Amino acid sequence: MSPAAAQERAIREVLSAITLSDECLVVPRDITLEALGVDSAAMIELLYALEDRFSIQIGEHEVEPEHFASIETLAALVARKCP
Amino acid sequence: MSLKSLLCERGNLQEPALIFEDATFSRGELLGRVDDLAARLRNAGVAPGSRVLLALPNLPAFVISLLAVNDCGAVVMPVNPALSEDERRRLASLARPHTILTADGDTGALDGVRVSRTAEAEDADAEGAAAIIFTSGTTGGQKGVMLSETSLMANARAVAAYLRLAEHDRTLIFLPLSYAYALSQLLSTFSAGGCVVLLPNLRYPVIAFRTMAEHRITGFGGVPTSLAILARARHAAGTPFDSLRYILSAGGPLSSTLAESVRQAFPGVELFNNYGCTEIGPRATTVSYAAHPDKIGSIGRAIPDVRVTIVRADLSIAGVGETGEIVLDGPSLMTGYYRDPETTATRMSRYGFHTGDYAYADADGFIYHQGREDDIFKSAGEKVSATEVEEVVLAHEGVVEAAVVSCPDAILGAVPVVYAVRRPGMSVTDRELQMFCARRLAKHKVPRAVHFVDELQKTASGKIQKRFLRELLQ
Repeated sequence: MSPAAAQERAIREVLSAITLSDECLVVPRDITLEALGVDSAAMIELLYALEDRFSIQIGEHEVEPEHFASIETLAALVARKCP
Repeated sequence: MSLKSLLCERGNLQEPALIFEDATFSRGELLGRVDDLAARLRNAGVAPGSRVLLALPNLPAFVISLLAVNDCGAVVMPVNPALSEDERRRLASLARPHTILTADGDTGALDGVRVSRTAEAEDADAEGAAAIIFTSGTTGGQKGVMLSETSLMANARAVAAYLRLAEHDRTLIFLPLSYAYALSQLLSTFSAGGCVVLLPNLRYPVIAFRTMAEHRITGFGGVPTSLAILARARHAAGTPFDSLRYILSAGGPLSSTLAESVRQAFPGVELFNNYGCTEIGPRATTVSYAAHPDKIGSIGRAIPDVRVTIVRADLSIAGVGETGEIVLDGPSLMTGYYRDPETTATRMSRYGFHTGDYAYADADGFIYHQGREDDIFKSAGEKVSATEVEEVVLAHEGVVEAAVVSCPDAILGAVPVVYAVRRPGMSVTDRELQMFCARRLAKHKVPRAVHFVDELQKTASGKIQKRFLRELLQ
């Protein structure tokens, strides 16, 4: 598995743990977080969980549609932050 | 009189009444859209007394539909379009609507509404109701709270009075308009001649802050979870909000810690803590923590036109400092539960509506909420019935005993946690049990943690001692 694929897999696992749905493991990467059931409170959980899982820092100002829209945009954000 | 008349009471017709993203509707434009839709609805057979289900997100279309259905003399039944398929089916069988209004995505317009007739709706008595708002009942099932036009207007005016809302006010609404809370924000702002700025949700706090700055928002209301999210993200906003005048908290207990973080995140902004329930339309008490810093932790005193009585179990009135049940009465009280006169009767006494909430009043009349006697708590502003969650957990073949209790949570207020005893020989995991619940319950009701134990401590009469479990979680 390439590092990018491993990161995406980990993001999917984080989402699956938050939404309690295995659907997150298999859906297309451009499905919106909203469609996956990530509500406003779950967004905070997601932020913490990503920071924890990848040992990165995500600023509150980065929680916006550009980065927190779909698995695809999250993967791009994580890839940029991971050393 | 109809709800749309609120738009004509103050302010002139050219002034903005509703803003969503780049679209601004003046009072006059909004009234025009309402009249157009009302004519369409009448043509589609909507008549006085018809029940019309509104499954619309926070869009101008929601506001237009609400006022148009009301203008037809019909009963509006707003439901959250984010409900799961299962919840929607259960709700539809309770609601029995004649007509359903949904967003018309095809036109791409923010005010587009699709009108569909349902198969012949069965008879149901909703006499006197202008709106039926669905809320979780004490036994966990949904209840339809019937509110008359008088109720909605009385409560809207009372809220406008204590918030001192005026024509220059701009209210940000991000809570779902299908909630009595958001509906009250909408109608109270309209009644004062102010303008409402709609957001679909609070998913991106940065967008909420940008909207506040761009539209010079003067006030907003949230459940404690919304306030925790905003207070936490406040430093990311950058721009100061010199227009912001007040913040409302309602829909769950506001802890002193959270009240303090809100005060620090929004210095100089007046924080009001409120208490109420859908059945009173929905606001009952309020307190400004700026005006009464010594009363932090209190839910305040009765708002205009609401009578709050704290009663003992024998229906005598509780003394100062003595805890009793909160009973509410006044012109904004519901006319009853939809299709459930038995429950309505059990919740009413000569003092009014028995809320199931327990509280005491201090010598100045400020009320302090003490919780509930039944097993209901709030998570992110939504009611959770421990009994309902326990029933689902016990439906899993791997569980023989279960007790659900609330666990304090900094963002959500509280979350459900389950203590379960496995059936001998079965090896169900916590994740399996959570997934089992997630398929059967709304998200906020799914236990956040599962603790398997060998046994649950019981009283002599065989009742599970939940107090002991709650202490474990503190």
